[in-house]
Amino acid sequence: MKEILRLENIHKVYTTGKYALEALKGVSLSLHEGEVMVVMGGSGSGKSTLLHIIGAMTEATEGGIYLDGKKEERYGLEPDATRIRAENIGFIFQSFQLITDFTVGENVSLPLILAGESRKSILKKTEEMLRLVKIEEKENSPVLELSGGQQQRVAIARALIHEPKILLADEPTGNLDSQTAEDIMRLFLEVREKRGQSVIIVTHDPWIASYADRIIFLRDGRITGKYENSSQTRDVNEVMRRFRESQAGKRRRV
Amino acid sequence: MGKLFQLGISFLKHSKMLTFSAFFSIFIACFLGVGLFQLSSNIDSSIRAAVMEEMQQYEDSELYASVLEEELAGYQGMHYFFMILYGLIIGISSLFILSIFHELLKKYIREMAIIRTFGGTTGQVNLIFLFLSVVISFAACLAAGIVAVSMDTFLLNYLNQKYEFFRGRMAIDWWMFFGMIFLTFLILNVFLMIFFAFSQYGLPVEIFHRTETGLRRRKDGLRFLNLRKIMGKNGYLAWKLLLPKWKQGLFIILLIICMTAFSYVGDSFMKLLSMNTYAYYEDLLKGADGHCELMPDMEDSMIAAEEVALIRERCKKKQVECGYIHGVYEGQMGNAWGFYTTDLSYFKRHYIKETYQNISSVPVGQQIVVGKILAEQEGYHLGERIRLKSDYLKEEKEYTLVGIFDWSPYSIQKEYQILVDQTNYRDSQEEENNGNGNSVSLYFYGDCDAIQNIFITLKQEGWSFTGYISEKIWKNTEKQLGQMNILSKIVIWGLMLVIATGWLNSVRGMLISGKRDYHVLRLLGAEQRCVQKICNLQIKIYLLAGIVFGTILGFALAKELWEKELYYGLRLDMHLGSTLGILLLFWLFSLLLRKTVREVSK
Repeated sequence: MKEILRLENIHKVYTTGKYALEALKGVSLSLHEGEVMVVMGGSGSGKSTLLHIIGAMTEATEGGIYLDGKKEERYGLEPDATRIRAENIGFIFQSFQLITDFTVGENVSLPLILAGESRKSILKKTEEMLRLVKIEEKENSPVLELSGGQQQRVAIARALIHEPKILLADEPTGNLDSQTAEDIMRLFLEVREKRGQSVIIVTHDPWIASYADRIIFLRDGRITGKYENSSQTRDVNEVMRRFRESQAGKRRRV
Repeated sequence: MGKLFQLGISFLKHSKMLTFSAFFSIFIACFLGVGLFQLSSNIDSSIRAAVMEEMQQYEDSELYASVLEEELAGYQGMHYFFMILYGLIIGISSLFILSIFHELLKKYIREMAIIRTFGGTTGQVNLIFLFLSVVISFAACLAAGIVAVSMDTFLLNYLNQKYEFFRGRMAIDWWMFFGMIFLTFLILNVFLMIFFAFSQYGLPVEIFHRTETGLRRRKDGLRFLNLRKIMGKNGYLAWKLLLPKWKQGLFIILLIICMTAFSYVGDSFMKLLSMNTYAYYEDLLKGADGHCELMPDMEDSMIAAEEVALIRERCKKKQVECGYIHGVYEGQMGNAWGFYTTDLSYFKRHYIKETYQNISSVPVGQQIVVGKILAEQEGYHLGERIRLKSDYLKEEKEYTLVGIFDWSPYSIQKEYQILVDQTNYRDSQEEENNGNGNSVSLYFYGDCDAIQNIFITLKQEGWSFTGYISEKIWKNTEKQLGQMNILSKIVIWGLMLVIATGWLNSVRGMLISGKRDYHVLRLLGAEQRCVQKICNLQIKIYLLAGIVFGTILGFALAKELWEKELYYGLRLDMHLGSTLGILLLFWLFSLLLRKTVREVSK
């Protein structure tokens, strides 16, 4: 499978006054086309920082990032960061981050409006996306009228409409009940099947992680384990066991 | 109680912009109020002294008493004028100061809800905000007082040098000074107290769960996509993001509309007053250096031609030329409003450029001159024979038109548009006049002091009239119009400063409340520059909506109110001076939002 993203030896240090906190310590990973990857870790493990770096929302202190095999020297720095986000990344958040004053259609079409696409193209693609996430009848509804699951579908449609290479999801099911969460995860897989979309999901929930093709475990800013799910089945217990193993050093210290 | 006040102080510390805005608005209102009434107090004492002095030149004590009473009664109106101005300042400032405190309340509404969750009463919450308002208004009024003491003397003396409001130099009226500061402080806090009492609505749980927008189904939200071709992508997004929040800014926009309209109407009124006043006096004086109109003792009696001749002779001795129009009142008979005679030789010299080429063949008693407006209306031309019908003449008489004059472009009345030579005039002692009386309008050409002496002499002889001397009229008119103009401008622009401060806070609140939406745009690939443009466009929309509609409203109101009051030939055209000034002021204030725009677009 084609490699679309590679991180090499990524370090991220936050400095506040005389204090420095190293959130990521030499993280290296790669993402392939059509792959669903989960980044799993406890609080403070650095998974959100990793997501922010991949999403070009912040720059790495050290290390290289390759997009489609090409090294991006200014990956998290403006103005390249905006261009990278616009062309390659789609975001999905735990709290959906929809514009509450807009309708469903207006929210979904926003990336295309920003890109300056024609009216015809915007209307066509918006309809397509809404159909993909099975919410086309709600096009003119205000987003606050929708349930949590429906709002997340809108967020997914918005994230996909400009055909990004990578979909980044930060705890996408965190605010949803279990049934809705399962629907959303199935939607991710469906999107992967239909569009060959690569997805990176950040979560601390092993049940969500079990949907992944590959799981990366983080602890204290380092990768402490990997799990490749080559089978078609979801083994939550195995994921939990691997997660416990990856966090084992921390527990011994306690 | 002390803890509540400490909490209030911490709110102030964390809302520097709002605190400063409230302070600044109260400062301006108090400073203007104090200044206005100091001016009023100085004008009042100066006028009393001046009127007393001027009246001493009249020996007649009865005349002196009645004129004094009249003059002082006229200046009572000035006090009401200042009170109205102060009322305007306090009224409009209060609205904006309330809006600023409303923003403060909105900012801390969750904190207040938390306090109430843990047993705090609405009274205690009100007390916190009342404490804030007392602290801010006390500091602002004190600062205004200190600045007023040092600056009012300088400012008012400077204004006085230019506009001659009062005699001598300004003296501070300390009772008025402290009274105004206290009154301003009291009025504002009473308003705020009432506002806070009514603003504590809803239970804490309602505040915690309150959503920002109402649930409403809209028609196709994407139907206006083509507007991007006109507005651009940034304009379209700016408008889309602003539209659902229009209610938040409506209050401020309405106030800007009202103030802009008020400023425009005020400006138009000053223009009208100026145009009309100059037109009135130009019409009255008709190019002469002095004018008065003598009335007979009884309504139906006539002023003899000899009396007029005597007056003219007396003027000649003082090197003052005296022209006149001697007229007879009539009803709507014939083709003249009244029958008017004059010394045509003087009249032709002053007011007619071109005369009939065969004028020497026309006897003086048959010569007639007609006003330009009437000539155009009736189609008269030089040399034409005109039959004049008048009760006074008892019969129709034929005259020859020897000249067309244009001495007053402002009057379309037929009065004074037809003149024949004085040889046509007959005194009442000799003829019946059918119960009509007459008047004599005198026009003086010469030295102003000499003309003034003639007026005094005529009054001493028992004539009743108002004398006008052009030099004094123009000087007084300029002074009075200048005074009114500068006062109204000071008040309007002082209020505009307050409104601009309120607007600034409202816009800042709007930008901060939209921070999340701007953040989403950035995540979706919008550049920071693009989001900044969207913010700046929203600021401009917010500003222009008020100013444009205000100007249109002001123009419509001014036309409705003032156009029919204008003299003939005058027009109240659209003028954009005040609008552009308001736009510039708000644009300057909007520069203070650059930091906020940068922060929300990160």
